[in-house]
Amino acid sequence: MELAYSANAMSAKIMAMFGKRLRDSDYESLLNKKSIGEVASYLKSQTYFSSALKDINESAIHRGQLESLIRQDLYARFSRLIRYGGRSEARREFYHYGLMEVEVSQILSCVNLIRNQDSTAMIAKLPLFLKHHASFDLANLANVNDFAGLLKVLQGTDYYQPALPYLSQSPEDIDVPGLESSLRSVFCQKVLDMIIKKRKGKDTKALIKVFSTQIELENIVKIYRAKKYFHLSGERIEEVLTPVWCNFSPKQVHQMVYDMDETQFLDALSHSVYRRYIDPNNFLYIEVHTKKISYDLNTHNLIYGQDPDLVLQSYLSLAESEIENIVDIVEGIRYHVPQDVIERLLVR
Amino acid sequence: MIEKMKLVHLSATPQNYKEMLIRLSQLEFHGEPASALLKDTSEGEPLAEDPFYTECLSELSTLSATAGCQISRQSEVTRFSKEEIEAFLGELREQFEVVTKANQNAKLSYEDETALEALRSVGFEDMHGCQYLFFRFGRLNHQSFKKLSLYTDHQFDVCELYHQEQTHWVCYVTSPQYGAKVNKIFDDLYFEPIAIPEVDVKALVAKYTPKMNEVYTYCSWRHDLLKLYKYVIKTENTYEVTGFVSSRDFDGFKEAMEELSVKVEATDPDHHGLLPPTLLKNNWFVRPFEMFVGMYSLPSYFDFDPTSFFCYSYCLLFGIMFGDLGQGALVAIGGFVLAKLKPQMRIAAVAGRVGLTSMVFGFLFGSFFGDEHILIPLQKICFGVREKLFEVLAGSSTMPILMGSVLLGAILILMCMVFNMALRIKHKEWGELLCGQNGIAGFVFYSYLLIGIAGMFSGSYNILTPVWLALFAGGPLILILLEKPFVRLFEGQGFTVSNGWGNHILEAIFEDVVVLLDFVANSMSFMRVGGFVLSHAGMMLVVMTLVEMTGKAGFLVFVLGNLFVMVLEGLIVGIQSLRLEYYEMFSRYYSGSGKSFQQISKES
Repeated sequence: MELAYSANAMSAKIMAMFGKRLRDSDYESLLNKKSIGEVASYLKSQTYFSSALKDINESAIHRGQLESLIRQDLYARFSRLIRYGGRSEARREFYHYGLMEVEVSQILSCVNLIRNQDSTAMIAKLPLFLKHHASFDLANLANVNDFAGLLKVLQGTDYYQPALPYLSQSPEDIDVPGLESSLRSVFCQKVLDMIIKKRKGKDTKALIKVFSTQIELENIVKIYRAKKYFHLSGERIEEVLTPVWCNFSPKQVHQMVYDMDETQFLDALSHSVYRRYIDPNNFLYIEVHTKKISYDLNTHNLIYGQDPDLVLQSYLSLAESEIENIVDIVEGIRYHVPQDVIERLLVR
Repeated sequence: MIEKMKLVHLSATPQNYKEMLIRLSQLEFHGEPASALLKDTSEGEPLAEDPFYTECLSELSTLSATAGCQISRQSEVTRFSKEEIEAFLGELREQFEVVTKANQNAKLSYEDETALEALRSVGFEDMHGCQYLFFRFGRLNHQSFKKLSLYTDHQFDVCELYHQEQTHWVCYVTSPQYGAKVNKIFDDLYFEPIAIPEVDVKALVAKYTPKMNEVYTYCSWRHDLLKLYKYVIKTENTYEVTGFVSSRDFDGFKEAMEELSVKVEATDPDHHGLLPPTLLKNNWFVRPFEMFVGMYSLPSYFDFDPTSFFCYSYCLLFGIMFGDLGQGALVAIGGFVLAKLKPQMRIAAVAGRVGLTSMVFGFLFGSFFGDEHILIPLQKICFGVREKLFEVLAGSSTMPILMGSVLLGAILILMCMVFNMALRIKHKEWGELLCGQNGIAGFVFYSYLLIGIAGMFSGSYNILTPVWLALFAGGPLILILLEKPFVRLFEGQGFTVSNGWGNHILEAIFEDVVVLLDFVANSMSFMRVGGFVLSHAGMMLVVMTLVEMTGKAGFLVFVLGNLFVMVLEGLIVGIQSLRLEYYEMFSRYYSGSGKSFQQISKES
């Protein structure tokens, strides 16, 4: 009964929030801005980011600060929404998945800084507003100087065991892609376990599909980039992939990883379930195409989904996509990228 | 009445003329401009106005506004020479130029200023002068501020100066050796630097403000003096001022001037010299009506003050037209209360007075908030009548009311003629007195007609016979026709006309027709007084009928109806009374060619 009520409440709240999203006219206006200050000013005065940006000084804002504030706002929205999701421990555990992505990302940033021997640079990027919700003390990452120190911080968390094998390596030799793959595998497995063990029904299948498609698209990006830019071997590529697929059989995956170059890989994708989105003759960046796939899937789930968690996950993905669009515009303006090029990068 | 004036001539020396002017500005003194008094240069010359102090005042105001400091006039005046003022202004210009630049560069918000205030004790100049320390001041967002405690390598020290919700104003200090690294840390934390001012504007302002106030006070004093220079005639050794003081204040005035060793000569104003200013002086009841007389035009000093006659006739007319005991009481109370609370609102005082006469006539008409019966018992006791004293709406009352109004108007017109004749005698204008439309001829003609018509209606006598008509109507009309030749005769120019007798007689015949029409029209104009008596009673009858029809909501209709009638009719009656005063009465005797008594200190 609690779930039924909360399902209605959460879905209604999400639809209300989704209604305030940036529209095409907003993107048109943002694309016409000449500086980051103008973008910030527009977001502050004309969009739902006004409360998140109310204290900023538009004339002096840094693009990193702008991104940080709107991401912080997304987390605030997420926190508000999960209040409608019931009080059971299982649901609370499930909602933690949103934070796990941030945690993995912070651990990897910390490892990179250990390699660069610059611990102070970590501090500025720390999302301390999540301090009380994270599974370890994020502030402690500021004082980590070596990998042993990092493990000490991660002790007792789900990340400790996957990270342990990398302890013996010297800072310069830490296999960051391998570590990232291990950590993301932990994240994916945990989320899928939670969905499979604690839920049932047709929306569960949709939820699994959303997560597994997300991971599959990440894998596709990794394969393409590994082949196109790093020319890695099949074995090495397989090591950095997360072993979760939903639209490709193991045989197809093996062929894509071992037997194809990047052109053949794109061609295979253009004949797969993603053929609507990937056309080798009209190819931009692999990320733009995978984001569009994700965007359409999430929009469909948001509108037609019955399970509040499915709707929530779709909303968060779409909101994340919106933030990435803003970041693309800001970066484009900063580096004087032509307006039409920026426009092609936007997913909407 | 019009206050009696003394014409005074003041003579001061070059040493004391400024004190004389300052003292004059504090007294009830009406000055005559030097330009109006000087006929030729041999009598002296006007005192030239030196723009120096006005320009200094303007510059001081500009500089103080630029620096954001408040300067004000002080009670004590310290004297400065022109050279001293110029030198001080030069110094200010130089110092405040830095301030202007600093202000232009900074454009700080209120919060920035507040934070900077906390840093002021360190000394901005000292901070810029440090060789081994490096300071930066600016804003940090709350998330970044919280992260500062995570930096434990002690390469900088930071101090929070002010905070507001999500923003913190901080100043950090480091050594030049770590400067670049620490700056990067703060830049990564999205630190928004604000330039530390090179000069402490506030300290600078605080240093100069006392002397600025002194110079400002002196320049203001001199500037005020300059405004009075237009009254001064400068001769070889004296500085002379001419003006008027009321006879009542003269002794005190003379004493004040003699204290300053200023020579005072006083004479009574006469017709041949300057026209003295008019200062009206009336009792408390009449005083508010000075406003209406002033609106028309003040009386000449040599005429008489019509305010008393205006006041009583206005109150009488208003009272008759707006006769209601209850409504009059409300108008009177409202008027007096408002006049007490806002003395400058003189119309409220007028309302208070006319409300009283409304009450009197309301009682006589037996009307109380439209109820025509409630006062009958009281009228029986007071006047010993069997029924109501006067039933306004009775058919038999209509003609008496209208005829009574015309009779009242005729009496008022005749009184105005008497005033006019008195003024003609005072001014020795014998021609106008004898032959004027409002002189003896007009008075005899109009009185005769009135008495004749009254006899005809009453049937007791008849004086509208050819002989009487020839004598009291024809005779006055011929005199009115010959007014201009008679005026010239009394002025010693002979019994002549300027454009020839033919032209004159033709014009005068038309004028006589106009005179006749004027008398008729003016008399009939007063019929409106009776008209409004009937209209007021009629409107209240409608209100009372509505009250009876509306049952339980009757009280509300009663209140709203009374308010409506009071506002609408009060306004109309007030305006109509004023119209009768200005057009039917003032036009017969009042010229209003006076000038007001203007105290020189109150002039712009």
